[in-house]
Amino acid sequence: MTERDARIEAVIPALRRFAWSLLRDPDAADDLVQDCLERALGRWHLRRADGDLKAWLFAILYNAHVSGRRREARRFRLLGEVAGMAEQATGPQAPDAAMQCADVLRHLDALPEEQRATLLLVGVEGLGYEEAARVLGVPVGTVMSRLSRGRERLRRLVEGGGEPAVPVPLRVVR
Amino acid sequence: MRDPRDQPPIGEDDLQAYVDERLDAARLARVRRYLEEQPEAAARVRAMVAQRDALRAALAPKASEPIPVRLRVAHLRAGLRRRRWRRLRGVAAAVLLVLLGAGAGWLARGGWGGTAVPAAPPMAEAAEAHRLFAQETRRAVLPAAADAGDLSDWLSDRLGAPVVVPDLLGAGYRPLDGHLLPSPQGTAAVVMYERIGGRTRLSFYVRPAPGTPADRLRCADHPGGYVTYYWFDGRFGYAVTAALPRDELRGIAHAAEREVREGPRPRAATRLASGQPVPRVCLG
Repeated sequence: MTERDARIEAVIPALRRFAWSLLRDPDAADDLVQDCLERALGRWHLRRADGDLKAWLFAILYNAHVSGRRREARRFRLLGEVAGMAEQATGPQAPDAAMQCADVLRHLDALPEEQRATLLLVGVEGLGYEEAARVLGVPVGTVMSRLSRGRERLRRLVEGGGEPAVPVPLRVVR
Repeated sequence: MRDPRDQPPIGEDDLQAYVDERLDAARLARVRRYLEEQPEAAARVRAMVAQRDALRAALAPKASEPIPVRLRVAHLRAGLRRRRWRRLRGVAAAVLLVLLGAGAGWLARGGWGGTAVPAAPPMAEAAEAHRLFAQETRRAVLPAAADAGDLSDWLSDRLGAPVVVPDLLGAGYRPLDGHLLPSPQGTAAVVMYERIGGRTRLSFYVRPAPGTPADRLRCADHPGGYVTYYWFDGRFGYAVTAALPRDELRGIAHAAEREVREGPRPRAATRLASGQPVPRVCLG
């Protein structure tokens, strides 16, 4: 195995975890990772030599996820028109049995996708704020505010055991 | 040099960075002092740290799973190589088509020069495209659902003008996939259909033909038992090809010509029976 391949493979476990956290479906998650890796191999020459490989791969995966979701939404809409199965198609995915116990994951699902992805990238995958901003394609300030809102919301969910009736405003602590 | 006391006041970003352990020593000390004085904020931050740890713990097993074979880089690389090779083969086939088309044009001029036959080549390339893609048996698993309506969208997008891909479900054929091809007049495309419950392949071919006047449905036989019905509408040349008796193909070709001329029928007519494999647009 080349050194380059070894460096890519070292990131695969984290990519799979991130993909799974976003999709909650092991097969769909691995499809997303495969899509990401194929794009990465095809675009290796476009990579900035000094850039961070991990952040670059996460960015490709996240972009594939976002564009795939648009395609999915369209597909489900079409299928819905054709066969009237939109509800089943867009319904919640059954989580892995092994992970089912983790309450925190259930609460995480209640978060808007952008907040969820930000929390995962920074809190679980250990990306820096700048890196997360690059992966998500937003300014660092947006990453900070998503983190703050997402964590606050998650805290209330965990404490309250349910979804708050109104969105939680950003709390300013001075 | 700044006095530590001149530091900006504690903000929400400091608290987040505290949770993520991304504060430098000076700022960390300042945030710690602040949290000592603000029990409510301290409780909030503690909860967020606990939450972060719970998330990491819940997701840790996923990252320690062994990597599936299909995600191994060597495996992916081999797959990419295969696909590149298939693409290359496609280009070679397209070059052959162009040559054949040119040959057919030359034959048409030499053979029937001066007769009433239109100057356009009789879409011989449609039969070649059919021959090429009808043999393709590999069907990757669907990334995108596609019926005739989707294929029309896709094709119109690729050809840069509205094109209707006929819905032939009424005739018992469903679309399988679509391929783009170069032609001397610009991008051409072939959409492959398969008989529902059978193996018979039928193709719909379209290429730009801005210089050819509109002309009614005509028929041509090609080697190998392929029959092509073709027509022109002043913008494009169209052809329907299959290894079917003329009589059988004529009805389908008429239906296709009518639909291309009049536009798609309402969506309900394109209903796919559930359980049917979903056709796929292949852009390779």
